[in-house]
Amino acid sequence: MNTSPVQLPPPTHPTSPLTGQPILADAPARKSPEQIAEELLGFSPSCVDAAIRFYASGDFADFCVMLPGMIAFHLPRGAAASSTTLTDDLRLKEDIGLDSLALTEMAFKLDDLFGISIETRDVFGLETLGDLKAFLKQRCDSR
Amino acid sequence: MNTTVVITGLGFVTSIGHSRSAVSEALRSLTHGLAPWSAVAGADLTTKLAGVLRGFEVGSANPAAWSWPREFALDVSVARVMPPHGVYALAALQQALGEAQLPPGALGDGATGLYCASAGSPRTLHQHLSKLEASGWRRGHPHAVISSIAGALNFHLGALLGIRGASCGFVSACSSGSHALGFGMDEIRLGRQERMIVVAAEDLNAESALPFSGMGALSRASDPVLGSRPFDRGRDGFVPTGGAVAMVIESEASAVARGVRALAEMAGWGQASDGYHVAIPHPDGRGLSDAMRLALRDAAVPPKKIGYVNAHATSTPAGDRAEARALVEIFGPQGVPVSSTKALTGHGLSLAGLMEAAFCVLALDESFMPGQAHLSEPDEDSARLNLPRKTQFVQPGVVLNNSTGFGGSNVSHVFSATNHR
Repeated sequence: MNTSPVQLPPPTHPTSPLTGQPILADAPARKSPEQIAEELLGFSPSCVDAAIRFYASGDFADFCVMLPGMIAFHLPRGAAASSTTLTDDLRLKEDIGLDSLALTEMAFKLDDLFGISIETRDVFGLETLGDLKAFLKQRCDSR
Repeated sequence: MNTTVVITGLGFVTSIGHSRSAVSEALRSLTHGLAPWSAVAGADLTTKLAGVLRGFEVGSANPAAWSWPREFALDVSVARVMPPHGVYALAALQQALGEAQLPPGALGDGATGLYCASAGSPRTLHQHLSKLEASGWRRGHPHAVISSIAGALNFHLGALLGIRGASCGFVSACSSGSHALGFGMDEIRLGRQERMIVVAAEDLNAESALPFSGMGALSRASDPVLGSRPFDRGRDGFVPTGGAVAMVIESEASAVARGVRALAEMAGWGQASDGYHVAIPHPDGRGLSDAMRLALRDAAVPPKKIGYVNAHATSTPAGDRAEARALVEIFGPQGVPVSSTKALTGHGLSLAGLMEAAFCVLALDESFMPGQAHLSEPDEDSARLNLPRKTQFVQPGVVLNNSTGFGGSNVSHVFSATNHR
């Protein structure tokens, strides 16, 4: 019986199957207001302004100003109009028109822009806009 | 199988025009749509030409920055979740549905189907995979799959048009568009659908075109006249293009009941394979000659009745030679007038077969036969073909359209003028 200890390879970063290179999780660089505006091309000006303010301040009040424009951009074609005032009691799918794909796309955008880590499955259980806001506040606070 | 199938609508986003009238004029005057092209800004590449889509700016990684010619009233919220070729397809569909007098709301009757052809969007897939990889494979965009894989076109268009009948995508490389049309015709002849919307589209960007350079398939010419010259001794590969073509086909009874004019009749089609090589055609084009025989048999038309052939010839030596030999086998030396309109458009890959089928319909509806542009000196096989250099303004009566794709997949269609039965 061979009793010699098993030789483990030195720890490495995971490597990419595409490039063979290590995948390095570098800290993301700070974005300029111009970069944020470019990433939000096609969004309403008020949404872009609020996003830039939120990126700098982290103030959730700015986030809430940004949110209606974020929702409007991601609404599927033919969904309920977003021009009506969005109140916290509105249901995301039935009243606002955000289907699950739109909701996950919006979550992806928030992660991309602000580094707000959101598990896709977590947003599926949210029913109202108030639920979404509470969930996003919790995720923002835990960044 | 006795149902007569007619074409009632066409739509074009091509390098030679984005409307029926512009495309027709280019085919008549043999005006090409090739232009200097840099697939990657600042890179010194050997591929210097493409059949460009003028007025469409869909190169940005951010679809919100895309734009298109003003005449196309495309919904931004729809276009932004599609691959680049989806935008071309929306513009082509707008035209075809308009000509066929089919309002979008009328397509969910279950009697209307949708067949598409596209290779997907390697660019969109590349962008999404790069981002997924950069996240350590943890975080993928929700649209990564549905906006990029082969099938993205039929996924989006089927939902957008509210199709309740058949919907499917076809992937047989450069025969894909022709397969979509052929099987679409069968859906009607089998009585499963009253009409089919057939759409073929391809991106035009580095990811869609440059991989063909690794096979030595792309022309290195910088002069458009020398770049795409099917059947010419001096050809050195194909010039890539993208775009979209949409076609509405339906039973003659449906067209009559709706009071819509038939542009031409689709008389038959056939397919056969080389059984030879994954990328190189059989030297004698044996699969293609079989496909032509089967299409002629399906249409009940003898070879001598064919008035014009739109050849697949892409301007590659092996492909053109094989097709020339197959054409001589079916039609004899110096037989039917032949031209490859890829001299004008470039090679549209999955788009090519449907694009050229639509050119055949224009030729029948408007009584002309496009000449062979950019041909200076045919090689020894091509010299046995009847290759008129100029467009002839006569009614061809019955025409045949050829397509071939990787794996030796070959498709031929036969169309006839509506007054030529």
